[in-house]
Amino acid sequence: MSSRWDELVPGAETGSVEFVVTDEMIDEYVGAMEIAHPWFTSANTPYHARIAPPDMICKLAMTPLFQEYIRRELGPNMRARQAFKFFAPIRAGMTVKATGHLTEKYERRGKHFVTLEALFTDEQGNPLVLDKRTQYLPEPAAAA
Amino acid sequence: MEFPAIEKRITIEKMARYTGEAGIHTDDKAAQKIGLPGAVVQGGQLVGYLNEMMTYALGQGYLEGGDISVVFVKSAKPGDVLVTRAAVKEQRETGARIMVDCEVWVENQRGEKIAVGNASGLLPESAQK
Repeated sequence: MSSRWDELVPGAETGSVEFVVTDEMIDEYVGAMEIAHPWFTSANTPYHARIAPPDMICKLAMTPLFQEYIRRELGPNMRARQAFKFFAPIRAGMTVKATGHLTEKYERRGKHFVTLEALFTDEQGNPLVLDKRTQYLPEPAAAA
Repeated sequence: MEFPAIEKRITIEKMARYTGEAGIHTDDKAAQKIGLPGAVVQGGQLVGYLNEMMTYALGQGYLEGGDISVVFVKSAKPGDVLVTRAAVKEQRETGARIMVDCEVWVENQRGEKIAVGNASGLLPESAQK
Protein backbone atom coordinates (compact mmCIF):
# COMPACT_ATOMS: atom_id res chain seq x y z
CA MET A 1 0.00 0.00 0.00
CA SER A 2 1.33 3.44 -0.86
CA SER A 3 2.50 5.85 1.83
CA ARG A 4 -0.73 7.76 1.09
CA TRP A 5 -2.42 5.27 3.40
CA ASP A 6 -0.52 6.65 6.39
CA GLU A 7 -1.52 10.20 5.48
CA LEU A 8 -5.26 9.50 5.34
CA VAL A 9 -7.07 11.29 8.14
CA PRO A 10 -10.52 10.12 9.30
CA GLY A 11 -12.88 13.07 9.10
CA ALA A 12 -11.44 14.29 5.79
CA GLU A 13 -13.95 15.63 3.29
CA THR A 14 -14.00 13.53 0.13
CA GLY A 15 -16.29 15.54 -2.13
CA SER A 16 -19.66 17.22 -2.42
CA VAL A 17 -22.56 17.25 -4.86
CA GLU A 18 -25.73 19.19 -5.55
CA PHE A 19 -28.07 18.30 -8.39
CA VAL A 20 -31.68 18.21 -9.48
CA VAL A 21 -33.29 14.78 -9.81
CA THR A 22 -34.82 14.55 -13.27
CA ASP A 23 -37.22 12.14 -14.96
CA GLU A 24 -34.40 11.30 -17.38
CA MET A 25 -32.14 10.21 -14.50
CA ILE A 26 -34.88 8.00 -13.12
CA ASP A 27 -35.61 6.56 -16.59
CA GLU A 28 -31.96 5.66 -17.07
CA TYR A 29 -31.56 4.13 -13.62
CA VAL A 30 -34.79 2.15 -13.81
CA GLY A 31 -33.77 0.93 -17.27
CA ALA A 32 -30.28 -0.10 -16.18
CA MET A 33 -31.64 -1.93 -13.13
CA GLU A 34 -34.67 -3.34 -14.97
CA ILE A 35 -36.92 -2.13 -12.17
CA ALA A 36 -40.63 -2.68 -12.73
CA HIS A 37 -42.05 -1.21 -9.53
CA PRO A 38 -44.78 1.26 -10.65
CA TRP A 39 -43.80 3.96 -8.14
CA PHE A 40 -40.53 4.41 -10.04
CA THR A 41 -42.06 4.45 -13.49
CA SER A 42 -45.04 6.80 -13.16
CA ALA A 43 -46.45 9.60 -11.01
CA ASN A 44 -49.18 7.28 -9.74
CA THR A 45 -47.69 6.93 -6.26
CA PRO A 46 -48.82 7.62 -2.68
CA TYR A 47 -46.76 10.83 -2.96
CA HIS A 48 -48.70 12.08 -6.00
CA ALA A 49 -45.40 12.43 -7.85
CA ARG A 50 -42.91 10.17 -9.51
CA ILE A 51 -40.16 9.06 -7.17
CA ALA A 52 -36.68 7.64 -7.70
CA PRO A 53 -35.47 4.26 -6.44
CA PRO A 54 -34.16 5.06 -2.96
CA ASP A 55 -30.49 4.34 -3.70
CA MET A 56 -30.40 6.12 -7.09
CA ILE A 57 -29.01 9.44 -5.91
CA CYS A 58 -26.20 7.64 -4.09
CA LYS A 59 -25.21 5.83 -7.28
CA LEU A 60 -25.29 9.03 -9.34
CA ALA A 61 -23.18 10.88 -6.76
CA MET A 62 -20.72 8.08 -6.05
CA THR A 63 -17.89 9.26 -8.28
CA PRO A 64 -17.71 12.95 -7.24
CA LEU A 65 -18.54 12.16 -3.61
CA PHE A 66 -16.16 9.29 -2.99
CA GLN A 67 -14.48 7.64 -5.95
CA GLU A 68 -12.45 10.59 -7.27
CA TYR A 69 -10.96 10.98 -3.80
CA ILE A 70 -10.19 7.29 -3.23
CA ARG A 71 -8.74 6.74 -6.69
CA ARG A 72 -6.57 9.85 -6.35
CA GLU A 73 -5.36 9.01 -2.85
CA LEU A 74 -5.28 5.21 -2.92
CA GLY A 75 -6.01 3.79 -6.36
CA PRO A 76 -8.34 0.92 -7.33
CA ASN A 77 -10.89 -0.15 -4.76
CA MET A 78 -13.88 -2.44 -4.34
CA ARG A 79 -16.95 -2.22 -2.17
CA ALA A 80 -16.85 -4.57 0.78
CA ARG A 81 -19.93 -3.37 2.67
CA GLN A 82 -22.85 -1.03 1.95
CA ALA A 83 -25.48 0.42 4.25
CA PHE A 84 -28.34 2.82 3.58
CA LYS A 85 -30.84 4.49 5.86
CA PHE A 86 -33.84 5.94 4.04
CA PHE A 87 -35.63 8.93 5.57
CA ALA A 88 -37.92 10.25 2.83
CA PRO A 89 -38.81 9.56 -0.80
CA ILE A 90 -36.86 11.33 -3.53
CA ARG A 91 -39.24 13.07 -5.90
CA ALA A 92 -38.49 14.01 -9.49
CA GLY A 93 -37.65 17.72 -9.62
CA MET A 94 -36.13 17.76 -6.14
CA THR A 95 -32.69 19.31 -5.52
CA VAL A 96 -30.45 17.02 -3.47
CA LYS A 97 -27.16 17.80 -1.74
CA ALA A 98 -24.49 15.76 0.02
CA THR A 99 -20.97 16.02 1.34
CA GLY A 100 -18.87 12.89 1.73
CA HIS A 101 -16.41 12.14 4.50
CA LEU A 102 -13.87 9.45 5.20
CA THR A 103 -14.99 8.26 8.62
CA GLU A 104 -12.67 5.35 9.31
CA LYS A 105 -9.64 3.49 8.02
CA TYR A 106 -8.53 0.11 9.27
CA GLU A 107 -6.46 -2.93 8.50
CA ARG A 108 -7.80 -6.46 8.89
CA ARG A 109 -5.79 -9.60 8.13
CA GLY A 110 -3.27 -7.48 6.26
CA LYS A 111 -5.90 -5.82 4.07
CA HIS A 112 -6.75 -2.13 4.06
CA PHE A 113 -10.28 -0.74 4.25
CA VAL A 114 -11.79 2.74 4.36
CA THR A 115 -15.32 3.68 5.40
CA LEU A 116 -17.04 6.65 3.78
CA GLU A 117 -20.30 8.34 4.64
CA ALA A 118 -22.63 10.97 3.17
CA LEU A 119 -26.01 12.26 4.28
CA PHE A 120 -28.16 13.39 1.36
CA THR A 121 -30.61 16.19 2.14
CA ASP A 122 -33.13 18.27 0.26
CA GLU A 123 -32.74 22.04 -0.23
CA GLN A 124 -34.22 22.70 3.22
CA GLY A 125 -31.75 20.38 4.85
CA ASN A 126 -34.22 17.58 5.52
CA PRO A 127 -32.51 14.17 5.47
CA LEU A 128 -33.23 11.87 2.55
CA VAL A 129 -30.67 9.06 2.55
CA LEU A 130 -27.64 8.17 4.65
CA ASP A 131 -25.05 6.29 2.57
CA LYS A 132 -22.33 4.43 4.43
CA ARG A 133 -19.93 2.24 2.50
CA THR A 134 -16.68 0.40 3.16
CA GLN A 135 -14.16 0.02 0.35
CA TYR A 136 -11.45 -2.63 0.18
CA LEU A 137 -8.14 -1.49 -1.27
CA PRO A 138 -6.47 -4.36 -3.14
CA GLU A 139 -2.84 -4.15 -4.12
CA PRO A 140 -2.67 -3.93 -7.92
CA ALA A 141 -1.70 -7.44 -9.07
CA ALA A 142 0.37 -6.08 -11.94
CA ALA A 143 2.46 -3.99 -9.60
CA ALA A 144 2.98 -6.77 -7.05
CA MET B 1 -46.48 -9.08 3.49
CA GLU B 2 -44.59 -10.79 0.73
CA PHE B 3 -40.95 -10.56 -0.25
CA PRO B 4 -40.88 -11.21 -3.98
CA ALA B 5 -37.84 -13.00 -5.35
CA ILE B 6 -36.50 -10.45 -7.83
CA GLU B 7 -34.60 -12.25 -10.59
CA LYS B 8 -31.98 -10.51 -12.75
CA ARG B 9 -30.02 -12.00 -15.62
CA ILE B 10 -26.62 -10.34 -15.67
CA THR B 11 -24.88 -9.34 -18.88
CA ILE B 12 -21.78 -7.21 -19.44
CA GLU B 13 -24.00 -4.70 -21.26
CA LYS B 14 -26.26 -4.34 -18.22
CA MET B 15 -23.24 -3.98 -15.94
CA ALA B 16 -21.81 -1.27 -18.18
CA ARG B 17 -25.12 0.59 -18.31
CA TYR B 18 -25.40 0.58 -14.52
CA THR B 19 -21.79 1.53 -13.89
CA GLY B 20 -21.59 4.17 -16.58
CA GLU B 21 -17.79 4.22 -16.72
CA ALA B 22 -14.87 1.98 -17.64
CA GLY B 23 -13.27 -0.08 -14.91
CA ILE B 24 -13.43 -3.34 -13.00
CA HIS B 25 -17.19 -3.62 -13.55
CA THR B 26 -16.91 -3.49 -17.34
CA ASP B 27 -13.39 -4.52 -18.32
CA ASP B 28 -11.82 -7.94 -17.65
CA LYS B 29 -8.27 -6.57 -17.92
CA ALA B 30 -8.93 -3.81 -15.38
CA ALA B 31 -10.41 -6.40 -13.00
CA GLN B 32 -7.50 -8.79 -13.47
CA LYS B 33 -5.05 -6.03 -12.52
CA ILE B 34 -6.41 -6.14 -8.99
CA GLY B 35 -6.58 -9.92 -8.79
CA LEU B 36 -10.14 -10.61 -9.95
CA PRO B 37 -10.81 -13.27 -12.61
CA GLY B 38 -12.78 -10.78 -14.73
CA ALA B 39 -15.32 -7.97 -14.62
CA VAL B 40 -17.65 -8.16 -11.58
CA VAL B 41 -21.06 -6.72 -10.83
CA GLN B 42 -20.91 -3.50 -8.84
CA GLY B 43 -21.94 -3.91 -5.21
CA GLY B 44 -24.41 -1.05 -5.42
CA GLN B 45 -26.27 -2.89 -8.17
CA LEU B 46 -26.82 -5.86 -5.84
CA VAL B 47 -28.08 -3.65 -3.02
CA GLY B 48 -30.36 -1.93 -5.52
CA TYR B 49 -31.99 -5.29 -6.27
CA LEU B 50 -32.57 -5.83 -2.56
CA ASN B 51 -34.03 -2.33 -2.23
CA GLU B 52 -36.45 -3.13 -5.03
CA MET B 53 -37.59 -6.26 -3.15
CA MET B 54 -37.95 -4.35 0.14
CA THR B 55 -39.98 -1.62 -1.58
CA TYR B 56 -42.37 -4.23 -2.96
CA ALA B 57 -42.72 -5.79 0.50
CA LEU B 58 -42.96 -2.72 2.73
CA GLY B 59 -43.63 0.22 0.40
CA GLN B 60 -43.65 3.55 2.23
CA GLY B 61 -42.56 1.76 5.38
CA TYR B 62 -39.23 1.12 3.69
CA LEU B 63 -38.81 4.44 1.86
CA GLU B 64 -39.56 6.44 5.03
CA GLY B 65 -37.46 4.89 7.79
CA GLY B 66 -36.14 1.66 6.32
CA ASP B 67 -32.52 0.63 6.39
CA ILE B 68 -30.25 -2.01 4.94
CA SER B 69 -26.70 -3.19 5.56
CA VAL B 70 -25.02 -5.68 3.25
CA VAL B 71 -21.63 -7.39 3.03
CA PHE B 72 -20.36 -8.60 -0.34
CA VAL B 73 -19.10 -12.14 0.10
CA LYS B 74 -18.65 -13.41 -3.46
CA SER B 75 -18.37 -11.87 -6.91
CA ALA B 76 -21.21 -11.87 -9.43
CA LYS B 77 -20.27 -11.88 -13.10
CA PRO B 78 -21.78 -11.79 -16.58
CA GLY B 79 -23.94 -14.84 -17.23
CA ASP B 80 -25.09 -15.14 -13.63
CA VAL B 81 -28.77 -15.25 -12.78
CA LEU B 82 -29.24 -13.48 -9.47
CA VAL B 83 -32.24 -13.73 -7.16
CA THR B 84 -33.09 -11.68 -4.07
CA ARG B 85 -34.31 -13.42 -0.92
CA ALA B 86 -35.53 -12.42 2.54
CA ALA B 87 -36.44 -14.13 5.79
CA VAL B 88 -38.23 -12.30 8.59
CA LYS B 89 -36.26 -12.45 11.83
CA GLU B 90 -38.48 -10.37 14.07
CA GLN B 91 -41.48 -8.07 14.16
CA ARG B 92 -41.36 -5.50 16.98
CA GLU B 93 -43.56 -2.65 18.10
CA THR B 94 -42.21 0.83 17.59
CA GLY B 95 -44.75 3.41 18.74
CA ALA B 96 -48.02 2.63 16.99
CA ARG B 97 -46.30 0.76 14.16
CA ILE B 98 -44.56 -2.57 13.72
CA MET B 99 -40.98 -2.76 12.53
CA VAL B 100 -39.96 -5.82 10.51
CA ASP B 101 -36.37 -7.01 10.75
CA CYS B 102 -35.19 -9.34 7.98
CA GLU B 103 -32.19 -11.24 6.82
CA VAL B 104 -31.68 -10.44 3.16
CA TRP B 105 -29.39 -11.85 0.54
CA VAL B 106 -28.71 -12.16 -3.16
CA GLU B 107 -27.90 -15.63 -4.49
CA ASN B 108 -26.73 -16.88 -7.85
CA GLN B 109 -28.00 -19.72 -10.03
CA ARG B 110 -25.98 -22.22 -7.97
CA GLY B 111 -27.62 -21.05 -4.75
CA GLU B 112 -24.41 -19.38 -3.60
CA LYS B 113 -24.89 -16.23 -1.56
CA ILE B 114 -23.30 -13.19 -3.21
CA ALA B 115 -24.37 -10.45 -0.80
CA VAL B 116 -25.78 -10.97 2.69
CA GLY B 117 -27.11 -8.64 5.34
CA ASN B 118 -30.05 -7.23 7.22
CA ALA B 119 -32.87 -4.88 6.31
CA SER B 120 -35.68 -3.29 8.31
CA GLY B 121 -38.77 -1.27 7.65
CA LEU B 122 -42.21 -0.47 8.98
CA LEU B 123 -45.00 -2.88 8.20
CA PRO B 124 -47.60 -1.23 5.93
CA GLU B 125 -50.53 0.09 7.98
CA SER B 126 -52.91 -2.08 5.97
CA ALA B 127 -50.99 -5.18 7.09
CA GLN B 128 -51.15 -4.22 10.78
CA LYS B 129 -54.92 -4.29 11.11
